[in-house]
Amino acid sequence: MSQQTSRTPIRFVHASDLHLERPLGGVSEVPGHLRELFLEAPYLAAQQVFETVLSEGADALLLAGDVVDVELAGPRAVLFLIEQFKRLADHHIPVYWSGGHTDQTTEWPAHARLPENVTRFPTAHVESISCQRDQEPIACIQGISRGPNRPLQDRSPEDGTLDDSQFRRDAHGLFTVGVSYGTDVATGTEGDRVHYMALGGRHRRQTVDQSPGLAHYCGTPQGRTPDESGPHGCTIVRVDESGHVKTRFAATDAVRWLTETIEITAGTDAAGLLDQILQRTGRLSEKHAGPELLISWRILGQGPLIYQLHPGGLADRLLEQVRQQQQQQGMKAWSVAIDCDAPLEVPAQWHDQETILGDLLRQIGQLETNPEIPLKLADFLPEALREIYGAESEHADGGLPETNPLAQLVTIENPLQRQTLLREAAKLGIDLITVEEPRS
Amino acid sequence: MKITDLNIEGFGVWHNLNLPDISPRLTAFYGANEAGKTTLMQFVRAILYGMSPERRERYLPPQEGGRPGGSLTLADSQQHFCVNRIAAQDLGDLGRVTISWPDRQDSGAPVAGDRLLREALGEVDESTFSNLFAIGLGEIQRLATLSGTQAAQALYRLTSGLDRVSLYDVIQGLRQTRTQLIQEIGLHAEGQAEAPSGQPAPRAVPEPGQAAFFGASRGPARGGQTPRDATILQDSLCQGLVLQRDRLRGRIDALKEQNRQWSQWAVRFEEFDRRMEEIETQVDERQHAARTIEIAVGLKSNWRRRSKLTGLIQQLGGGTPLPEDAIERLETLQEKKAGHQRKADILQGQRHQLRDEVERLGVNELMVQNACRIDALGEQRDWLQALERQTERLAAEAEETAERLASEQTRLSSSLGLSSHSGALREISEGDLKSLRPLVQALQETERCVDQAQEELVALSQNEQSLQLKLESASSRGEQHGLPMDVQEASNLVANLRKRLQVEQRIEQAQAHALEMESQSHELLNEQIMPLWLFGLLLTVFVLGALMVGLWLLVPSAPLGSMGGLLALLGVGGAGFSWMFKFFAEDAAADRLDACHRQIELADKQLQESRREKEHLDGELAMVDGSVVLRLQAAERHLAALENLLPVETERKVALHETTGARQRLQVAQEKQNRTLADWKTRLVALGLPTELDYRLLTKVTDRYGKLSNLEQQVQARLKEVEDRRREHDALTRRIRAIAEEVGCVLEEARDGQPVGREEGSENPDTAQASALDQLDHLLSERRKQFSRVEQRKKLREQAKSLKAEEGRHRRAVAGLNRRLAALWESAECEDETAYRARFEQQRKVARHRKQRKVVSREIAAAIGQHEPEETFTRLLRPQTIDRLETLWEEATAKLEASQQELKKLAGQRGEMKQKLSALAEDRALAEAILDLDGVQQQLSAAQDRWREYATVSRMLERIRDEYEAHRQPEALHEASTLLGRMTAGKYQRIWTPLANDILLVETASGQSLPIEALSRGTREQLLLSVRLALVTLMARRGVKLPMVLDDVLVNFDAVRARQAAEVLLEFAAAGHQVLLFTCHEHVWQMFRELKADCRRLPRRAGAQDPEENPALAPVPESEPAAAGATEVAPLPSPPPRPKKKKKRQKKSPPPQPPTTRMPEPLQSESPPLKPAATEPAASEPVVPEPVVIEATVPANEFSYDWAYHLTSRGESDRSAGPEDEHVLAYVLSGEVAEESTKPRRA
Repeated sequence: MSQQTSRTPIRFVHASDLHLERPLGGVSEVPGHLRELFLEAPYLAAQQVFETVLSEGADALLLAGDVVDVELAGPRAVLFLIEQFKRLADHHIPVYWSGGHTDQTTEWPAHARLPENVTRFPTAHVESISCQRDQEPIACIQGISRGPNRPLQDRSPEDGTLDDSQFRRDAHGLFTVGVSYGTDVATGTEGDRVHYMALGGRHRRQTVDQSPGLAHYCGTPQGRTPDESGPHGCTIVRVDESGHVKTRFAATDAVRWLTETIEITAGTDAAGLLDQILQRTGRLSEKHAGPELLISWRILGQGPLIYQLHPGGLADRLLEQVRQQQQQQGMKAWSVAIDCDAPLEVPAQWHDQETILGDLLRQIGQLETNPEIPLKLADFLPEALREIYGAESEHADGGLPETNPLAQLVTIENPLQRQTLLREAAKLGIDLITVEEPRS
Repeated sequence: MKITDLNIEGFGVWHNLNLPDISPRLTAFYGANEAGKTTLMQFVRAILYGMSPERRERYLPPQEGGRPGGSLTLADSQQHFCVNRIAAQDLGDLGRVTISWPDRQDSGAPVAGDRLLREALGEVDESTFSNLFAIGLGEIQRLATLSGTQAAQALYRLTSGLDRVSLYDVIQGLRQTRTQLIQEIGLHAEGQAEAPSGQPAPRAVPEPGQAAFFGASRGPARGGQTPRDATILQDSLCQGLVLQRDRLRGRIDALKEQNRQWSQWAVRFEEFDRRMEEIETQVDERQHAARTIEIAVGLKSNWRRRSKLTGLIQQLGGGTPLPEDAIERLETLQEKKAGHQRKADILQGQRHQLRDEVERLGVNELMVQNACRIDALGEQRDWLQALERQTERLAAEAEETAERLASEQTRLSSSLGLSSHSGALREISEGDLKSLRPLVQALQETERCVDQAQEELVALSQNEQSLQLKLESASSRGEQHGLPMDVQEASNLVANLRKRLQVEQRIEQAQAHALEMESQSHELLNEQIMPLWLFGLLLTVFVLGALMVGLWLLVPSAPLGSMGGLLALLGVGGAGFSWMFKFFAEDAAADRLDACHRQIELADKQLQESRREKEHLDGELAMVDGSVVLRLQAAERHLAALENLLPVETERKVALHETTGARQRLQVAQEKQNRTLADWKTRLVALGLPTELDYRLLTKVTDRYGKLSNLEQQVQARLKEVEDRRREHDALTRRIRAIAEEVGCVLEEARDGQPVGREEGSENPDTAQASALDQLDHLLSERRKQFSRVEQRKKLREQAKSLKAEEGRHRRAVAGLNRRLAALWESAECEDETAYRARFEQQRKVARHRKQRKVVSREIAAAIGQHEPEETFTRLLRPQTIDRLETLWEEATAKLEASQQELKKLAGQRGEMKQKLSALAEDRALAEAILDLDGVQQQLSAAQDRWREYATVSRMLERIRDEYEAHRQPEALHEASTLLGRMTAGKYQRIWTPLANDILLVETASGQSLPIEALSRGTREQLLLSVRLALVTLMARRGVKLPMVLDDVLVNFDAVRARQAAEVLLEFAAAGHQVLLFTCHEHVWQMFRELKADCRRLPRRAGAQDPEENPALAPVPESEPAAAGATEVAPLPSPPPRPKKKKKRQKKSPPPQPPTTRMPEPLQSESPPLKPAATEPAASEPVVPEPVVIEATVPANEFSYDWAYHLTSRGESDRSAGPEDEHVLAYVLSGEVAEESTKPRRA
């Protein structure tokens, strides 16, 4: 941005992490009416990206990695991409594609020739290409692809590292765009070398550097799991005459995951919570018109519902009712789960009761306040399995040895997991004991 | 906390029940079945814990009204307050609690809120209260239904305090679910072990979290899995899920391999494309060559034909060329010549025809000369026709007038009523008419009188007949019912019937009176006999009186002393009164009986008299049968009808009289009319008129006689005029005929065969006259014809002249054309027309050949098209090669076919490859497998979380169970052992539980341990009661003191045990526990009463008291509380009657000897009460081998604990189990070491 000369306005579309090989997931059971959408959503979102390029009249499409894993996606994805690239070629729109972990250059089938308008960047060095309009250069596109697949955090020196130090602004003052699947520079300095750094590898949209150049992760065009909630899409990059860069988000997702939090009061019962969920669903349907909504409900607040809502109990029953009501009312939404991770708050007198419930709550409190007390879940493995692994020496705390892989099941990895486990166990215990109470 | 007062405003069957001053120790309430004992117990629970929906449904609203709820006054060592709870209408409302302090003067208004109540309850929830502090019949009965093992488990859980939430069931459920989950996960090892070896290995780098776990299960399972493990793992409920995951992973690997194959196929597909392009080029070339030869073969015939035509053209060429239209010009000239010649001949023929026609026209010259005369006669033609018409008209008028004269005479005769044969109808004069007119008037008058009299007679007769009909219909109705037609008779009949009815009523009244008198007489007859008790009383009084008198007389020194005289006087009076009373009573009865008999006789007389009267009336009325009332009603109706007919009869008589008068008047009028008619006929005869002449017509026809003479005169005048006209017509006819003969135009034909039609039907045909008019017309028409023929002859002559000139012109044109033809032959160098035509024909043949050659050349060019230049075919079609073309074509076709076959084969292979590629490109199986795998992994992850939760909960609940069994159960067992020993008089001294078994054993005084199933029902209940009392004792030690409610718990105890149990309960209460005991057995209640307990009877419902004394609300003074452990057993009262069933059980032979176990005695040398029996087998008594009957249905624990933390309870946070508590084999308790044995030891 040092040269504030008058330039031709430019427009790019920046997309990454299309992951055509990965259908939606993260739910235990996909409802029948959504199965087709779960399978097709990545393709629909990708197609919407290409539609955006055409509708916006972009000068180029920047693909920043993880477009497709050909081995997993199969020929359908290959043919789909070639067809979409040809559509752009018909409109003389170039495509600049930087490879990520899944879309190595070498993985692309040799017989599937890409159209002339597609440029794939090499892995060895940063390649610089002139982007032209009417035979006149309007921007300089620099890019590099990631080496052999290995997760970023697991990279070793012998892996193909990403040597992005060769990114340089154009000597003639052309607007320079870098395309890469992440960078190796320190966080916050990704945009120091070019005017706009189109980054890929993160599914959530994020701008990591603002000055002197803009470094931006556009995110995946389609959220895959309940964790990737909110709208997803691509980024439209506009460069005005003075060289200022403006980014605009364009939603492309066919299915939108949402995580909604509902706070309840002490007087709220299950029916009241059901009403609140349905009302919120109605508002969300109006707000997010277009894509199918998959909503995860997070319940906070206080009252008896907090310790009654747990998987396998009231939460599942309530979820079933919510799904039925949503279907009956014709809402374009489906509820994924009802989770209640609020701290367990039971009436104070319960702790003082001279009952089993009181003893249970007191134990929970003791285990929560003393994280050093082990739970020793390995004791509850079936005897046969314990015998199978029992020959090995036991761990110091009485559980299975750490080398034993069964420890993955019975070991609490972190305090948060322990806290969550104790909370859910307390709910389950209260439920079991409270259910039995009228009989006694 | 203790209950001091209980007040129910309304609850169930109770209304305004107040139980004040309840004892702080034991209070026994007696109430029969359905007296409301359970309701009272529920009321206590409702006040303490609220009106639950179940209680509302059963006990609210109150049956007897009142506000739903009530109050309890509670007291403990610190405070004394009243809890009032009133339920609202809302189903979910537990009732509003208000607290008041009755002892405080300044307590003021009650305070809302249940804080004090909750504090008083010591945080004991309702379920604990119901399970611990209340023993009811239900529980007793439930215990009886359990099997021995179940009862042992139930009692065991009771002693451990774990029965309230059925912790054992919860733990069992958790264990089962957990086991299923871990089996599900562990089964992966099984699935992997059994997976076919051909399956590719899963991902090289498994997913985090799942990878290590599954890898672990895979490793040992492959190597060292035992059959037992497999058995366990195969029972997994989620086996299908894990297998599905493995299948999906294998499928994903297979599909990935398929994708790689797609790339190979795509390369092969491109090779196919290249090869096919080469073959296609070769095929095109060979196809072109073959096509060239094929075209050449097809061109052979045309090629030869074109060569032949070229030769012919060269042969016929030469000579002077003729123009193309030479023949047409020749023929045109010939046609013109022939046309002119033909027209000239036609004109000549027409001229000859005109000449012949003029000759055929005939012209009468005489007619032409006399034309003027004929015209003059023609002018007379109208006059001749007028004469004919006048003659006809006058003749017709004469004839018509004659007909009118004849018809007028006929009509007049008919008008006078004369017959047609009386043709001598003469004219009647005016004088004759005047003489006849008075007679006519007289006749008309008499006729009118007769008509009037007849009409009057008819009207009066009809009136009389209608009245007669009325009377007849009334009489016919009466006759139908057999009633008299006379009014008087009918009224008599009605009177008799009414009388008869009254007699019947009198008879009935008399009979009823007689019956009543008869029954009265029977009663009076009975009254005559004095009742036995009265007679006895009177006799007693009489005898007593006599005795008193006798005693006074015979024994003056009677003990009564000075009162003897008075008593004797009293005795006399009594005896006299008795005799007088009997006499007057019998006399009065006899009088009433006589009076009654007299009345009966009087009634009989009246009855007989009435019957006689009835018979008399029946004779008069001829009563046979039927209802008198109905007959009386019919007679009354008939009488009323007869009375209504009386004025009608009078009218009928008047009408009959008037009819007779009218008939006489008619007769007089008819006689007068006959006389006048006789005068009329006499006068007609005198005037010469027919006697049948009607006088009514005579006046109408007298004016018609004058017209007949006028008609006769008119007939004569018309006949004369007709004669004059005929004479004029004949003169004119003669003139016409003369001229016709002169010109020779007589109409002879008309006279012979064609008469005029008009004259044919006439009466006097006049042929001459008719012929004259026709002759005249004929002459005139002939004259007009001659004039027209003269004019036509002139026109024909002019026309023949013009035809002759035209013929001359055509003859000149034919000569000119002959000259032009001759010049044509000369120019073509021909001699004549034939040579000229032959020369032209030769020239036409040459032109046709040239045209054919052009067509053939065009066909050849079309067949070649753009395929090859024509030179190529010229070479091929040379004479040297033209015959080898077929051979060349076959060779080229064979080459082409070979290339095509190869191309077809390649196309098929390429199509197959393309189909495979398309199928792969459209295949979504891999995505679906990934989606399914993700779902399965999510489910497995959820199962993993669930297993952790279940394991954690199990961990805590097992800890609680261990805590209860380790710390609470031994103390409870100790207390219960003491109490049971007291209740059974030392027969059973100890309750204990073996290691790892949730059952109880009871040890007898001889040291024999019996299982629960070996105990009788009563002993089991005593055991249950002991355990409950022990638990309440333990709760009290922890600061929870609540009243205990026992409902008929002693019902199955024998008398001795019941007495001992009652004493135990009293001791228990004396130790500071309030006990409310309800019983429906009075002997139990009496037993407590004898033991000086607070005993009360429940009042009857709605507050009614027993008729007997009501000790319910008055507390019985109770004895001083006996010191614990120092109670002496009171002498046993005689046992109350017991049900036979119980006796049978008592008499039962000794129960079958249960397998018993002698447990090791505690070591004498060691002070701790809990002995590790398992660790000291040598020091114990000879141990009987494993107790086979004591089977552990639920293991005590799944594993041994090594707690790093200790369960804390409210107020006992410092209590913990020592390390010696582990591996407990038994809690051995004895009375001697009870105080030290509060902590169990684990061996």
